Amino acid sequence: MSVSTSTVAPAAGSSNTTNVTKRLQKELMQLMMSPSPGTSAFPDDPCNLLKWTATIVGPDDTYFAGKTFKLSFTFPGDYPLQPPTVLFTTPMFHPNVDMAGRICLDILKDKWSAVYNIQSILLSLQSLLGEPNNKSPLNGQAAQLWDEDPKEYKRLLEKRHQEAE
Amino acid sequence: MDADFPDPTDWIQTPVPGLQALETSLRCQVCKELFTAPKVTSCGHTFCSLCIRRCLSASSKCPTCMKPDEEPRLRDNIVVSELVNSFDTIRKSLLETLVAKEEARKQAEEEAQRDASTRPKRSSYDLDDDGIMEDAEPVHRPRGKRRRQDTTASRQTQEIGPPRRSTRTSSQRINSRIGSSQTPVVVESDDDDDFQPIEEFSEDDDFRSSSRAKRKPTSRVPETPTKKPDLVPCPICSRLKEQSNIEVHVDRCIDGKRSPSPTLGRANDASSAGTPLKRQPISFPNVSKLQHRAPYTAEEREKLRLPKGNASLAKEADIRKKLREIGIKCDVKGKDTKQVLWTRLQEWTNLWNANLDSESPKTKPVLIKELEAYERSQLAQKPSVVQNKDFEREAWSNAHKPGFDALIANARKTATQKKEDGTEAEATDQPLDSMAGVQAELNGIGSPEAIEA
Repeated sequence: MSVSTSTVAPAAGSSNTTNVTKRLQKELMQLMMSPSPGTSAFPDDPCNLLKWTATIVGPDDTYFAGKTFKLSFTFPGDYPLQPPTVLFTTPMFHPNVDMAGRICLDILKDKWSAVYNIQSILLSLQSLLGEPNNKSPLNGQAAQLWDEDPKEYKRLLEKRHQEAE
Repeated sequence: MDADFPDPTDWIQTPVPGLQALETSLRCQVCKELFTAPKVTSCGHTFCSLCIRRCLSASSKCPTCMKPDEEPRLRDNIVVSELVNSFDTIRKSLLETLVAKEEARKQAEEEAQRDASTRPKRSSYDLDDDGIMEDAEPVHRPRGKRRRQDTTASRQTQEIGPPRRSTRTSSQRINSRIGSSQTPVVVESDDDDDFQPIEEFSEDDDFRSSSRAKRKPTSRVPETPTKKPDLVPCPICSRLKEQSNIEVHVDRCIDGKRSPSPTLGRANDASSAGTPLKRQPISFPNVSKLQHRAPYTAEEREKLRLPKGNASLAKEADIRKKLREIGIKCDVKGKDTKQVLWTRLQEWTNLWNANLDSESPKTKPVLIKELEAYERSQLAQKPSVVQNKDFEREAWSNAHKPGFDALIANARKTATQKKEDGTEAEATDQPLDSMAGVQAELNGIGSPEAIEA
């Protein structure tokens, strides 16, 4: 804990985005001290808290079980009034994620609220993996296969996931 | 554990991890700090005054439950404000006490472990007697034992806790005595009014302001009444007073109603002397005097509160005029769009209104600086689309290199042309200046030396 605070401390002084930085420091502390299982997040650069890399592990009993997915978080200057930009950096095959990794999730768009945080986003994403919203898909093929052809879905997912390695 | 970075997770390591939940509830869910001037929404959620105002300007919904809400419906959350103040006062010492306790326990455990490894093992049953905790052998300890030990630890902490707190309290009381011009007896009994709702004094605003101003700095939970059982309500202000002091108090109460000046003067003394103004790191009274003022009274708050207005109805010229009246910079040439100006005015309204609610309000110049800093922090992030990818900056400058080269060539050409025309010394000076400026910009040096040359 002391390590994390000492590394992130300079950011508060050097940048004038104190509101954002302060809030992100708190979130970092929260994540380090009481992480939720299957998720992790850390700033890319201790001097710039506005960019983070996070990972989520696919929940059991889903196509994604046991797989780890990386995400990038970019925070706007008026976070938490505005949501961060969240992208899957690991190739993904999911009805609500397009091929560039962009995510269609209401809480990252119009349903965003200032009380949400990185942890709540990661948990939402984790549950999105198991329960996609197939009514408004970003990846039509994935949405179709999810309902109709689980085997083919699994094959394509594996193929996409191997691109990562 | 880290003094500069207090966080609810600090409590996890202590013998009372439940304090984490307590502190989390005392923190605003938007900024994650302890509440500053807490406000409750019409749906019952509490946020810092500034946080909820900013949220409601962004979208007129409660951030927690998404129910529609509006700024005028926000109300002070007085109890939470007192809770935060008293918690903040004891936080450091409480944490230190608990951490010390935990460290001592660990040390004892380690020693016991070392002893146990050298000594023959004892049956875990004889550990259940009270008072031989230090000899406990932790590795093979049954589950029940641990719990017992924990409760012992926390019981001991509690025993340590209160005396410390009361020392603090008494020192604070001494402080407030020093800050006051009244007799100590009266002030001490006056300290007991913390738990009284302010509504009680609404008949007299001056008197109310004084009690409020005094109330805030010390503002403790009503611990004193339990200590002093012989309390009687004052017939004038219905606050509970010590029986022995009631007559003095009633006299003073009547005086206070008739001529509030002595109490008001005392309140000003107390606040300007910089006595424990809440959560304010500056310890020099002079500095705090410059940057902070006494808390606003309810009447002042009503009067000074800025309305939100309507973006579609407001005219750009009006917004400009308003900003200039306040003393906020706005570009004269119309570089700032109406949207920018409107956002600036909204943020000012938020800052200003939240400042009215504050216990240690900032002065206007400080607020204006804060507004500028806030806007800068917003703008700094805006072009992130371009700056996101590092390679693009270079690509951009490469792509536009011909344009820059053409500009430089143009500047050189006009310079030489003017030299050829070269009629007056002034004429030669100017192109040289512009040339120097271009070169200075290119080389990244300031122009003054170039002008000298």
